[in-house]
Amino acid sequence: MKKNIQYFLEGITWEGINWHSKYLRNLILKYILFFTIPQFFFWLPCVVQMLSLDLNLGWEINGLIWLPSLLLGVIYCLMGFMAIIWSFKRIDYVMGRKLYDFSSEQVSLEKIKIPIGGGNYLPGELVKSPSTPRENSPVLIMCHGLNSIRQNYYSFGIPLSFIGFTVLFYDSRGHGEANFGNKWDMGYIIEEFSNVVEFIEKRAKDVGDVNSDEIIAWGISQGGGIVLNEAYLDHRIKFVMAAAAWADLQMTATRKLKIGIFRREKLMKAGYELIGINLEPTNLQNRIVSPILNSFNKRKGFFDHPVYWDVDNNYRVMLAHCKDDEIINYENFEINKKFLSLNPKNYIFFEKGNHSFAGMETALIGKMLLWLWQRGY
Amino acid sequence: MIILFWVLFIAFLLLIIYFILMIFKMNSDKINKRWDRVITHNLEIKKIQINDSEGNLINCYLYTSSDFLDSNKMPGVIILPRRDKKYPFFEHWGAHFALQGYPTLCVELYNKKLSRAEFIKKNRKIMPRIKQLLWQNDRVDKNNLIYFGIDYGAEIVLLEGLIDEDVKIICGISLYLIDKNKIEKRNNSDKVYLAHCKDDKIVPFSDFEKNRDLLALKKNNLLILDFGGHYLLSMEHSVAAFFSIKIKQKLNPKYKQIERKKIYEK
Repeated sequence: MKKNIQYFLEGITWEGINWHSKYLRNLILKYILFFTIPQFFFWLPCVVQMLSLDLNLGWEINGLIWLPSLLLGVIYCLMGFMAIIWSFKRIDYVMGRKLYDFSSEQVSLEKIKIPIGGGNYLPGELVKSPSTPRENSPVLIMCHGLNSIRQNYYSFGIPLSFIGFTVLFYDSRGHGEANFGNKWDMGYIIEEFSNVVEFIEKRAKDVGDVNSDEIIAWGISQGGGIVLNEAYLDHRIKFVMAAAAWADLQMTATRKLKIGIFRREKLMKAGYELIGINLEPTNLQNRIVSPILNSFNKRKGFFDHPVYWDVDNNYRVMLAHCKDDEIINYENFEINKKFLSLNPKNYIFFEKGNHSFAGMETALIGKMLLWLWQRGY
Repeated sequence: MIILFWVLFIAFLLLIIYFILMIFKMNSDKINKRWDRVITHNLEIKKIQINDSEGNLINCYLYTSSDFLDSNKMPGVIILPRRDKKYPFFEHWGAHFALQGYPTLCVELYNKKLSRAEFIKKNRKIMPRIKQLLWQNDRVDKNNLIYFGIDYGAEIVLLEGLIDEDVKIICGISLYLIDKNKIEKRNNSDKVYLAHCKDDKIVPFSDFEKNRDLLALKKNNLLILDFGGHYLLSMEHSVAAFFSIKIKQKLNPKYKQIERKKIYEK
């Protein structure tokens, strides 16, 4: 939990906080009211007695009439802070399943820098196992989620190198070791996936260890947004696997949340806005990042703009989601499935697991493997 | 009024204590209640009870996938999970293999009291019955079985699987040091796959190395992780994927291939 909190806190800068968000301002106001309004009632008996209205309310300890009010005020604030800590812990309990980093001497990690122009590079690595062929190996690109880092998905991606894949992990701009850009540059983050594909093409040509005709894109959360937008449109990508991905960002981010200021989903939304994410996108912004508007049943045209195309989604796309997802609600999965006309063999959904597939990781990876086995791997 | 003060004070204090307890509980649950039910649209679960040699009931859970109702016969998997956990803690292992089409039988061998020798001796006896139980499923390819075990279970599947020609693959996690006198047949140890974490404090890594040498296992048959401890915490799905890949590479079960219909013109 410490690592997660540390990474979250590092992402908060005063100038980065999304003060434009009505939601964030309202939530902060509610917290202020939560802590201050009861104080008025705690001090009311004390004030009444101090005003000498010939009223003896018995509001005193050891003859001190201010002491009960002070004690109540302090213990109430302590209780409020504990409730906040408990709420954050509940987020970590569900979302932070990783207890150890994946590490094994059996796989090789080669550090890479993916150029994206302007002298900037996306940091990452290529992971190979003893089963990875020296030449022309298929490539699996792993895309992490918003406010996450590539290392968080080592345990999902690295074992797949034993199929014979080269697995490419990278940090999106503003994330992890990418020391440029911002976490809220969602449009750029999605677009820069094509630079990763260009890197593989160049590598295939120059070194020959990877096969640019066999590229699979995998993404979770915002990574799912990347693969369902940019990778889906890109004809160089053979297969697309998206977990907990949105269909329509605007619909997802502005949906009505359940009542209660300590609710996980409310705190998580506020957390994203504290690190600067715009969760009230305009219609135009939404068109750029929502696959149902931007990419589905389309491909990149001559000018790299999306044009309608006949796409065999049941060959090319796999989806996964949990019904109790509190960040990207399950409705997104249903919409994606419908827009792609996917048959049940191309998706899996779990009753529980929330946004991180908590407790479902083993089953999810089993389904992913089956999906790959059925496609010749 | 002072009574109201004490009521409120105690109520807030109790809430603080509640939050603190819940935080501690979450810390322990994160490890001890790490796994729960796996409910999906295509996973089917059937509970079956059998008797052990002493007449005690043993719960077995058969996992299958509705995606494979009309498929060819597939290898069957028998899983002996951790002995210190009850259903549904091991359901995720069953789901992992069943979703790939392997009918999978998880056997609840819950027992914290028996010593290692007693536990293994007792449960080795029921393995033939468990095998028969799996064989009752029409979709199981009887001559292609996979044994999968964790901790003491790993030792049972190893000892039983090595001498059984129907068992084509043995997967063991955190296997204890094996007594070399117990290994009756060593020439077929190429079907053994082991996973171990270097920071395992219950079975030291040196024991894993001795097992590796005793069974003359090749590097290809091993997954060695730096972190995760005895129960491979956070690495469960990675290890499951490793074993599944090895099973696929060795047994090459026939999957109905999804053909590309209409796809982009290049």
